[in-house]
Amino acid sequence: MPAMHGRFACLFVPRFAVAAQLRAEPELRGCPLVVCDASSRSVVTDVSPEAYRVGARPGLTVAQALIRHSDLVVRPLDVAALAAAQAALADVGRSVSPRVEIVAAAEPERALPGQAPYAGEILLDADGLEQLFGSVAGVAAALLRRAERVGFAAGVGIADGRATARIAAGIARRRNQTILVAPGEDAAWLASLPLSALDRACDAGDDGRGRLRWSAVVESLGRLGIACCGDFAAMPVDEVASRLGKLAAQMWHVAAGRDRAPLRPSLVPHEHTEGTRLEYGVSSLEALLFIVRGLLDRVLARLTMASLACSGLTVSLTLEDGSQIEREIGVLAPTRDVKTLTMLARTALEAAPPHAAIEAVQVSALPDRPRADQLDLFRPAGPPPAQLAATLARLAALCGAGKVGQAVAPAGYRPDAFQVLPFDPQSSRAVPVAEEAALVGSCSALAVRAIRPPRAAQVFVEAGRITYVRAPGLGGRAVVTSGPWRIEAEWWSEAPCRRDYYEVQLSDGGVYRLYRDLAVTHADAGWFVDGCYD
Amino acid sequence: MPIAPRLVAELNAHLPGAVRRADAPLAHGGREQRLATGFATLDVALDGGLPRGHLSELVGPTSTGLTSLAQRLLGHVTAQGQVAAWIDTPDAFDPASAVAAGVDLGRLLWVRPPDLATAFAATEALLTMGGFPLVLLDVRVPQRHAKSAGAPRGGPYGGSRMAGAPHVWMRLARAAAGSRSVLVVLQRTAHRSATTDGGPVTAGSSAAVRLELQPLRVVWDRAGGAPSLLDGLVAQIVVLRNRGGRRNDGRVLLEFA
Repeated sequence: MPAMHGRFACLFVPRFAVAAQLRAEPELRGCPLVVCDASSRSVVTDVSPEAYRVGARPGLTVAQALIRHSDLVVRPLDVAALAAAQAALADVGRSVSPRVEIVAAAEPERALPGQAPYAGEILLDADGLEQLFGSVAGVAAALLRRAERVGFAAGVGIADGRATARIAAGIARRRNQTILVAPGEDAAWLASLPLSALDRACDAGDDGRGRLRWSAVVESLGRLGIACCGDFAAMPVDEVASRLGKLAAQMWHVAAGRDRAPLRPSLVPHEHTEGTRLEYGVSSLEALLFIVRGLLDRVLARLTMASLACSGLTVSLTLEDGSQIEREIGVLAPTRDVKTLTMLARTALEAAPPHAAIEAVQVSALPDRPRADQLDLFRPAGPPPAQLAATLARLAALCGAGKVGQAVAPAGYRPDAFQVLPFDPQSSRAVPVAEEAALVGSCSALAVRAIRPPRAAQVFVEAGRITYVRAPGLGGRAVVTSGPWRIEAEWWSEAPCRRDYYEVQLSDGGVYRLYRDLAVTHADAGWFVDGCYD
Repeated sequence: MPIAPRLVAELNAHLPGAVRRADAPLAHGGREQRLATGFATLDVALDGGLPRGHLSELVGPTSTGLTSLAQRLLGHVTAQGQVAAWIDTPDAFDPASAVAAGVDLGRLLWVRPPDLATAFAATEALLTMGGFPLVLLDVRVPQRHAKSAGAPRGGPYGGSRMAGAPHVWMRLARAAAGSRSVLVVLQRTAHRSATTDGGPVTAGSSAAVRLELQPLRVVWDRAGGAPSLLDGLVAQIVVLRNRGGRRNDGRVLLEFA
């Protein structure tokens, strides 16, 4: 028995182009759907089981398929939806195992005619996962459940070798069950299978023709009377290699349960992207938002599966005239609230609407950890972090960027300076005091009510004293004045602050803070009211 | 008489209100139902503070200490580790003053809506979410903004004409009741200058508490012929309404220095 090198799990979604289309348009489930090639839209590349039952086959022209059944629903291959579906499948894998390989993710332009560019198949390092999920069957069940959550009906196979796992997953989907090959039993399980079953173990290779070459090998073996994997594995591997070539030798290792091909983990994407190409150009904002919401639903389902939230969005639009525009949308706090994100997208799109009809939409979400709800023994519970994040994002959409957050009085001497930081009450380190200790008598600090922007004022000065102040919304005789209090700050910057501040009680009863900007040389100009004592 | 009720009766005889059933409703005006303002004298006049789950209204002209009182309230709440929100329609919040009043800015959410209708929507969103024991809504809109106050896209608060309508205040009061938050609305009454702000937008009967600040004097330090120094303001708070409270005509002297 060969030494064990680990365990592989394979998650396989057959008819992947159709599955991706159904994921993008769930209302088509149960319909006889055929997917044709994206360029000429004349050749059928994939068919749903319903369409297969009424005679549609890959390779037919669309016209031929429609002759066989006139009610076929025809969709051109949506490469954006297909790529998103493949990424979603990988996310399913990453939610179970940290090491995931996307199988046969050939570039679309390198795909053979009639062959889907994305295989709808992933491999996982399943070694030790049963400790997380209770058993190997638990791992398989988790994979199936999560695949279903993102819109896929998949098959799962788990074995020692990557090829055996792939073969098992393909058969599992057809039989509608999971296939768990016991450790060290790959060869025994494969022995009864026909040689054509090894077809799924052929990687596309550099030229994408591995499966075609294997068909030729199977024909040659058939002429020798070798029909099943067990008979093939019983042949001497040297003879197989010298007479039938490298591919046959590789397949012999698979059939003999000696497949030692390693997992080739794919990189974790920086963003989670969902996209779709539209049948016709969309020019209304409402229709566009309907599509964006659907994309957000799908991308957030993926983020939720990974226990992540969205901390930023990019909406990319391909317009009818071929141009592309992008709208980057900041999210104040990581959220999974579709309604809030849709509102943010609406705000961004309304602020700068596209100049032509939209043909393709893509939404990329920046993943981030959601805020954790850590209760404190000594502090009162605040708002729930998830809801707070959603509400903050909504408020930012309502009020605009930089209008919602935590106020900060920066260090310095400018009385009107302030900053706005993201609001995160859990980061506050101030020690709470008891309610009784916070009680004071009847005296408190006098607050300034800022006037933003400062209002230009007309100030009358007699014998060096302010006698009358007039500004938009206020005015009166100066009853008492205090000042000047000179402030010279940030002299090193391009906008230094050189001001003489005054406190003036006017005859209207208000006490105002006004200043004279010393940078203004004209005697009657440069007066501003920037606050009111209240 | 069974022993447990007898013991409870004895305890209550010595310590009134000390023992009660877990499911018994709290007495109206109890400390659990009121949020202390941070001013001991004002809390006495209000039977413990501002009522939770209700809308309270602070009204007064410029330079009567309205902002100082609100910031003191914020300071009192945030000092206890609770979070609060300031919906700042006129964009007049001064962080430095707030720090001086003891506000923990890390626990204060500052929202600067562009108009009154958005301010109402933001307030309702925060109240509906819950978790904010105090939400302050400053509706003192400068005159240049008053005419444009209104939601840009309609909605429940759409249009400047509807912004101060009674149903808006009822809606906010209901949201406050649902979250057990104290909603404080800062209002500008007719002022001696009368031109600074956009006129009163009163909450009317939706307010459970209505406090009016009346100016008494501005205190200047003019000792020894030196330049005058602003020492502070002295104002009087009149409790115009205290629904559910024992008294409705309290007067409290407050000093802001």
